[in-house]
Amino acid sequence: MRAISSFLLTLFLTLPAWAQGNPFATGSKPSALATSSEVDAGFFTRIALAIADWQRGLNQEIAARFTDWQAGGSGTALALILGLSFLYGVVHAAGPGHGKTVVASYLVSRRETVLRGLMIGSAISLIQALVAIILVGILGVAFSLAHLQVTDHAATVETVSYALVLALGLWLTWSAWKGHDHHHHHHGADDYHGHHGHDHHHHHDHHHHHDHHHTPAPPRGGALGLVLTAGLTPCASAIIVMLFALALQAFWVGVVAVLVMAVGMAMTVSAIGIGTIYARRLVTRVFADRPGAELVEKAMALGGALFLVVFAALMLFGSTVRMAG
Amino acid sequence: MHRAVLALIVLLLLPAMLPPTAARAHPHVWIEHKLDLVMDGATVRGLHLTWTFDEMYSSMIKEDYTATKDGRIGPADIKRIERDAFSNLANYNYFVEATLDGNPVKFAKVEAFDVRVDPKGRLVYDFTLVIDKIGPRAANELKYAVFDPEYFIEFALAAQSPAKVTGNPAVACTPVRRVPRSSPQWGTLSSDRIDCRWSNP
Repeated sequence: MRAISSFLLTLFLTLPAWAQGNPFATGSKPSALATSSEVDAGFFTRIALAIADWQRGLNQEIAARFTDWQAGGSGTALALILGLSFLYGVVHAAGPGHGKTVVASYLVSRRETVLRGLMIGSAISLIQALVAIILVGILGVAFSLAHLQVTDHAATVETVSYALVLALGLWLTWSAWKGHDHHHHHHGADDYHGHHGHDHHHHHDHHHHHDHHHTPAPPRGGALGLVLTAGLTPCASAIIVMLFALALQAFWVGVVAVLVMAVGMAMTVSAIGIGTIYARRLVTRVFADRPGAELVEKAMALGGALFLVVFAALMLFGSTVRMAG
Repeated sequence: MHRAVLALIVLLLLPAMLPPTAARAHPHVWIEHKLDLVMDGATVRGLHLTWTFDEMYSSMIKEDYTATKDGRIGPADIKRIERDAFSNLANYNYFVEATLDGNPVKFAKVEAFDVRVDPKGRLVYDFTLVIDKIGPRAANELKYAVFDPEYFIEFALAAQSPAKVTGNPAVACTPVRRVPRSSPQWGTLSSDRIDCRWSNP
């Protein structure tokens, strides 16, 4: 076991940084998706710009408070570091990234409870922070790799995460499709009906009645897979905060700051997740007792899963396929 | 029923509607930039750029590429930084999108690359991009933006004196801040632009 893990670690350390890396690092090239064009300012644009401004400001403040803390070690500086890190987490997760799209697609596809939505959002954010802490702990502290190299290796882990999310999306799509078929093949099975409280014995038009009231349960499972695959993406900002703390010989302050940041991110990601769950419930409720109910459930199960596939494929493509020349 | 169909459509589009569709948070590096347009009469010779990095990235570069790591930077450090943490940007055209009368500008080489640390401890890159082919003789408009479409870096024009001109007092440059842009991978981002105009004899 030890031999295997040290082999894997060595392999990982010697892998060239083939994923989307740091443009400053020798050999990296722009992503094939690296194009853009000027557009008009709309509502969402203004939100995105405001988020970008807040992120920039908070990042500067945190850096300044870290420097204060290093200079004097005052409790005020530490409290400010933690408070600002929390806010940074909330805003940062609202900006581009942090599995919001992944979580929302999943929760459109699968019927989950609000509590589980909260757990999924929180677990992804927390695991992303932990992966960042572990990466910096192993590569930066134990192996004393150059800081730029640490970010390159993080990019490799990130690409693996996209590939796994893509696989999960394909599985969700397949099971959403199969789940529907499954339902039809076992149409008359009693154990299926029991859950829904149909009174079979008093109805002669059993099948007809069933067709109207039974909404097929989307297949269960996948939440753990989602948390593990999407969580594997190390939070790049957490890595940079950790490396900064490391340079200031304040590694442990960095660890705590990153964990507090993860709590902030968990709030944003969970809020998006819970919003999606309520929206999904509304749709289910509105369509209940209508002939299209089953079709609508299937559309959501398949639609969410397919969106996840397209999204993960786009991210994988963007992070691995570089521009020629 | 119409309302229900609408609700379903909204739900299916929800993941796509979330602002910038990306799986990881960005940016990682913030750079404040300034332009000094180097002219020879009515001809543009090059772009002298000043980039000031955020404290966290400054710290990474100092840790990795300077001998003392305490903010002092010697000539050997500058050589190392240029080789390992700058020259690769040629692959990205230094993130510069510049046009002379609408024609894209390419750069032949970099001159006078220098690194210093400002009073706040932030790293400053200072360099001149020399224009490949001198643009059309009659050019009288330069549009200049610095932007990373992968959003690894967020560029913003310096708050004070972001643009100046050397070699032709008649050129007028105007900064245009926060121009929204759309990128297929990251959604809506923004970049600052500088527009310069001059008259041709």
